[in-house]
Amino acid sequence: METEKIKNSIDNIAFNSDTSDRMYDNIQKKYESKKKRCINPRIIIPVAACAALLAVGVSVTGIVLSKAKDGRTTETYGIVTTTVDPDGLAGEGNGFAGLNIPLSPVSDILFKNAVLTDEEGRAYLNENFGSIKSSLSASGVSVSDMKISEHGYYHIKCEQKTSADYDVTLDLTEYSVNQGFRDYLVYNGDTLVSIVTVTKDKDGRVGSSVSFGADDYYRSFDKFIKQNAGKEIIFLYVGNVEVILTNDYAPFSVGHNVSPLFENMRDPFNAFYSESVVYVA
Amino acid sequence: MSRDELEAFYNKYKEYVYKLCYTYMKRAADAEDCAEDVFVKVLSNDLKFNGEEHEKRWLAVAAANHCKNKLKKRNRDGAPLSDITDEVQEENKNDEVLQAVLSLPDKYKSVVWLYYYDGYKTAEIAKILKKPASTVRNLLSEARAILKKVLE
Repeated sequence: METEKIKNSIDNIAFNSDTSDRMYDNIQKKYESKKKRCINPRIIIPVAACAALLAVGVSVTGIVLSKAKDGRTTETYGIVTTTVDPDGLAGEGNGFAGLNIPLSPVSDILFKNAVLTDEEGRAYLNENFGSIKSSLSASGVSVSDMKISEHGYYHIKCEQKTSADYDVTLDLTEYSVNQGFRDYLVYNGDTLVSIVTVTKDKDGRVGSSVSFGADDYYRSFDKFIKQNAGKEIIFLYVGNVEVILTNDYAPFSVGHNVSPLFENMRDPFNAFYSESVVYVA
Repeated sequence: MSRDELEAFYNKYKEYVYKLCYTYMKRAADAEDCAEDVFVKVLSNDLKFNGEEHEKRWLAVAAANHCKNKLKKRNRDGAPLSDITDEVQEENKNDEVLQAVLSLPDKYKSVVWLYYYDGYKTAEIAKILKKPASTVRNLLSEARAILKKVLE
């Protein structure tokens, strides 16, 4: 009885042919508009993919300036990553089986955790510019003409779900954005020397960690960023591999073929497109 | 998806997706906007479904998630909810059961939709929503308690 009442009430929600026609037109307009943004919707640049490369780079000399969790500044030598969320929410450790397994089509992107706005990130960096510079300098990084990018960027985390009894096979990847985690690029003059990650925890405390030393990686990364200046870029984490989507095809090799990841997506850039995750260098 | 395929797919699910979105958004214009976005996702991803059941489940999850994200974003941005009463609201305002369903907190809506409207069993809903069956049963029980007054 209750089932029937609820079902009938939902069925009675008005839906007429005008609505139907209007929606159909709008779907086509929205889709066309998305396609226009995507001239050649191929992708894909695996950037921080090389955890090994990064590790080699930073093992020579490394320092982390961390104030994320409790407001204290601590320095740690030898372990640095550019891409990992200190809380384990956005980066590696979220087990993705392999780069040859296609990502599921994007039905949804979950935005979670406290929001760190670009303005908050920028304000934090302005306030802590001196201490970041000192830390990098003390670690042998050239920062005589240090500048930090005006804007930071989020990553979309692609997390593989492996529920064995789940029969809706297209929904196996979960996509989320840790809104309390923004990366900013640190330049010395015109050279990318570091990436600073500004974080915000659930209590609203803002902190940061700095990575550096992976010069080969930075050179490739920076080259790509400069080649795509003014264009929209989207950053993904697939496990611990960073993948960058652009709306142009821009070949970029760091030793990973990530094309198989996108076999289920005709238009990855637009599939992941969301105003809050797009970065324009 | 070819134009013919899109048209067939759209005609098959337009009301389903729209009505599901309406239960979250409560306004015709917002429901339309969200429903359109869900179909655009299908097109953008060039989805291939394993049959009708799969299509329906995917749409149910995708539409609900999309609406929840829209509502979250709206709350986050501080944009006020519109108090404009639209035509559809006018038509539905005397339906007490529907009003009760619309006023349910969002966390109950997917479960209520899948159970009452789609007729899935709690174990199936658990698989679709990737939640433990006990959680689904609890949500359903709490929703039923809220709806009890109008359903009696």
